[in-house]
Amino acid sequence: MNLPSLPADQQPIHKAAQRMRWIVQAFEHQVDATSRDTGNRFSVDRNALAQAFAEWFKAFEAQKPARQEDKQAYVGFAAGLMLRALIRNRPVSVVALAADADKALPAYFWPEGYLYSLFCLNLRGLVLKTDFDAAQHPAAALNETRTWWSFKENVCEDPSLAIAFLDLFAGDEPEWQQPGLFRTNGAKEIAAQPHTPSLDRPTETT
Amino acid sequence: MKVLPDLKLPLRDILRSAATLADTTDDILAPAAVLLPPPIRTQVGSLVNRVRQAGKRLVTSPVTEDQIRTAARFVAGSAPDNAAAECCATVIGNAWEHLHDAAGTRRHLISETMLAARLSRMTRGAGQSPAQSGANLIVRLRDSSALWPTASLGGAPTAAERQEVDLALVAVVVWLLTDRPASLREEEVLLDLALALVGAVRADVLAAITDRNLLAPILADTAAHL
Repeated sequence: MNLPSLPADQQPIHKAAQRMRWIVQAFEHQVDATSRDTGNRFSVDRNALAQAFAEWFKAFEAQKPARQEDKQAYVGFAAGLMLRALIRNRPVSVVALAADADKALPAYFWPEGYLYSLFCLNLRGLVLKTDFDAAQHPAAALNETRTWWSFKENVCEDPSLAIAFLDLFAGDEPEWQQPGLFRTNGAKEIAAQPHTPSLDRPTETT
Repeated sequence: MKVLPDLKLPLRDILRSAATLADTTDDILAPAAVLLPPPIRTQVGSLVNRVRQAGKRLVTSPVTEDQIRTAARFVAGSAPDNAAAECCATVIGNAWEHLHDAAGTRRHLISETMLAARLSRMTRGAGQSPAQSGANLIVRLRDSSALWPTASLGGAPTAAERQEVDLALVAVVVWLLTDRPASLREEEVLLDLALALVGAVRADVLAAITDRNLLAPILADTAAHL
């Protein structure tokens, strides 16, 4: 994971993530880690990141479930809302691609989308692990170029589909029809597992 | 007994005015400057720049974490004395300079002396929340002459200039209302983030800017999520 450690006051991560100072720090950690791993270089527009955060928070509050048993499922949905907000507001620009960039790999096919997706998956995994003692199990689709073609094309037309694609990448069941609507009756438990694969490195498509 | 402001405040105001007027002078002289012979143009430019740099250097003396904490208590309504009001004026003045330097935008004039005087006369309602106190402060300061859009020194401010000043003022108050970070460096980062976050909710802020009852929950919410 390339996100900051728990806040000093031991606030749960899902609470810390509702503060912009923590999100900015976490996002910049992810930018540094992804730059190291891929060789791509990025610049961050903090005003656009603030816009994404404000938009995400409004959407997050609007559908926040009251029932305790829906909270865990809402973590995945909230991470999807974050991905949608980042894709809409585009806080990152690519300054330079790695010299040996292979555009068949997701990290180089769509560097910004890859960075946003890793950030949201890492955030989702961290909240599940620390606050719910659960783990996420990323799917092979995360590294499939064909899925990324579809991902990029579809979210450019309808950014809400980012929520469904993040579920797909996270190994969860996507809701393709109305991805922007949280369904409490469709909430799925994510089984706790002893190991979470690293999401930080681009992997060869098989 | 009338409390006179610390003499350092008016002095900083004079230097701040000189720096701001140097900025404005640059703009005003730009069309005429091309008509001047190059050596004179260079000398005038150099003089204006020296005034600007000297003014800015002397105005932006650093504030301490203790001063920021005192200002935060004052804004939240829990330190309503004249010394805290003066400290708050200094911190707001410093934050104002920081925001304009960081953004590289046109400087808007602020008078710490008038700010301190206005803050020390503020009345507090019993049982006010920190956000209500902050909203009250914003509404009162908007009615004063402590903050001026620079481009309007010679006339009435445009709506866009007024909004720029309003958003900066709200950002400073949100920053002072939020939880304090661990260092001065983090304070600066947090102030920048406050401006970005207030900018992200600018439509809500500007719609509520004249009504302290509408503004208070926005301040509370924004400060809680900064």
